[in-house]
Amino acid sequence: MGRRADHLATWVVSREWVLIVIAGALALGSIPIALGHIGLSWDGLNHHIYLGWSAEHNRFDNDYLAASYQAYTFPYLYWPVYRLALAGASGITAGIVLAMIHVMAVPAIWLLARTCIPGSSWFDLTMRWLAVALAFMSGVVLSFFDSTANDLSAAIPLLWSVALAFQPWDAHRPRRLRPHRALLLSGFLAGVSVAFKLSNGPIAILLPLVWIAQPGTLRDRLSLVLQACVLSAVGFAACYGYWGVQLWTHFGNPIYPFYDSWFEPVRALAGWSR
Amino acid sequence: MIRFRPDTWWEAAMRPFAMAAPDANIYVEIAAPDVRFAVALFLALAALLWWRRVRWQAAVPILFGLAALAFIPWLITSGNGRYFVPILLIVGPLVGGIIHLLPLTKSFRLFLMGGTFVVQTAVLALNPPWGAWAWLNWEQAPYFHVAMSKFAAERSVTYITVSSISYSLIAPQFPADARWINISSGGATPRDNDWVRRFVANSGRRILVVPSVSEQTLQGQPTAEVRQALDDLLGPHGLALRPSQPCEVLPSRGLAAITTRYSKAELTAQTGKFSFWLCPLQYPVDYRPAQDGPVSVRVESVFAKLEQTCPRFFRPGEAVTRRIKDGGALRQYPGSDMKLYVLADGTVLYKFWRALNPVLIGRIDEILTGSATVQCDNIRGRAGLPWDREI
Repeated sequence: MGRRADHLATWVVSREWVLIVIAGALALGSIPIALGHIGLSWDGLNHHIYLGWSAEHNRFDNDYLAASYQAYTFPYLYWPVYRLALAGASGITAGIVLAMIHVMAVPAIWLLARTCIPGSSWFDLTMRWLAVALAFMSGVVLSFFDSTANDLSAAIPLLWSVALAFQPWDAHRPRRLRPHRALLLSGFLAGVSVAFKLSNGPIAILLPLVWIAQPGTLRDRLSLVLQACVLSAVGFAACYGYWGVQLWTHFGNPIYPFYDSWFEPVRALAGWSR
Repeated sequence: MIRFRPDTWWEAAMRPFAMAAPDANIYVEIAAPDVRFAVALFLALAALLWWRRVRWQAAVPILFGLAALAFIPWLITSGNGRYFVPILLIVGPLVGGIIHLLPLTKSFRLFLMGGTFVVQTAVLALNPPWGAWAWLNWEQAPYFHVAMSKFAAERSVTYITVSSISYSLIAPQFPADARWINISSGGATPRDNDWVRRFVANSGRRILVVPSVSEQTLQGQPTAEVRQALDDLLGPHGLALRPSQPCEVLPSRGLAAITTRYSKAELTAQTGKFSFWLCPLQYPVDYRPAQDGPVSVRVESVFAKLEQTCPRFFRPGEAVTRRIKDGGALRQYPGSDMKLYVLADGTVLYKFWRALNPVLIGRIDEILTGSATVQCDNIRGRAGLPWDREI
């Protein structure tokens, strides 16, 4: 019996990430089904659908402040909910699709859990699964499964960034995911996460502290941090660049309306006027 | 916006424990009690006490350090739980990681992990997050019903909204060449008001889009009082309702669903009462606000003095003085969710949005002479930890 149980544990561990993603998809996808709807909040009425619309159709030449200042936040994460809404999907369908997007957070959380709770016994396995389940037991996080808000989807790249930053300590890390590669990817995704939502910035700026804590010589670690920071900038620019250029072109401020006075000298230097 | 930012070092240090309180507006607008951070702190303390016997793994203390340090920039910038989602998720593996390394039996560690999960689940079961944000439920298509307008057939139409909720979710249901603006916005940068003015001036046919007020409707049309209120909102932008033209009435099951969210039977009965008014506008009009004379210097001095006393809550330059119906004046500070009132009888009050009632500060003379003032460290509805607060 003991040997059979160990054999089963080995089987589960070897397919653990697939199983936990399936379990996560079933659990999280069942929320809108159980509720029979998703909610439209103040923000949903005000800007979620409009932002998805402006992601697909440039509205700068037509509208101004149509969804108040929220009209100028990064719009592309709202494209799925806009598409579903305009395609005539029911709330349940939209909720399931959005939940499947959110499921991308599950393997990142599991990677972190595997790093903090290594081992392949039933005890380790149970602890890890409970840790992943506990991660989602937040009223704030769960509320997003009954909402069109993008706070959770915007957090996904930052979660992956953190999970990858801890990969050098993961005893079960696949051989092809070398620590150096994992940290560079972590840097890139940190930049992407800030592009998705500027409010990720205050958390993302702490990641160099994790990067520099890696094993290795100080010189190697400093070099790695520098490379990861450069890739963060690349990730941010690659993701936010187009939208930032749009905002600069129309308002002379790539993060309009924030910190507008900071860009006054840049506007003067570039000869921007409207 | 300082809504969720702590006012004192003590409040900042206690935030992981405050988050466990089953109240709304602690770290996010909804009630989302979270015991996990407090548990993580207690477990970390236990690990420190068993320092020599713990099976240390580098990842766990580093993850703990990351989560702990994340509180600093978070609380400095917003303290809003919606902007803390990565850490709200990371705390799961963190709690698991700390328990895993404690020098306890496997059974007891599983008990601790399962216990934390059960307690947090129970806390959420008592404060379910479902429907916490929702104004209405999106069940069947369409996501938000509104009937189509006759103006949709026209070209060069500009739809103007004045409500704080822009209702821009209906815009994609209108022709793509229509133009949209919410004139209640503006003012975030010094240039915006001019852009709003130019946008309105360069618009084609201007149509106001506004949700109807079911209690203030006469044969489907806005009453005279509503028309006056709308003109007061439109006037500063050189706009006014066309007196001779009725508003088009667009029935909206979406609007009805907002007020009848909890009862399908009521939704069916009430649907006809809720609609958007689409009202033709004239431009330009010479707007003269129907108000009393300017606010007296003494009243303005009261505002200035209180702003000087509590700049965190009454930020100088943030609010403009507005007349209120009793003849007094009001300044509203959206950045701190505060209002300052100077009533016509000389009474001065403040109100934090979470407080039930306004708080008396004193009379005009008392404030100007310094014998009465605001206790900046004891704002009702805001000051203190959740279990200390008075509303």
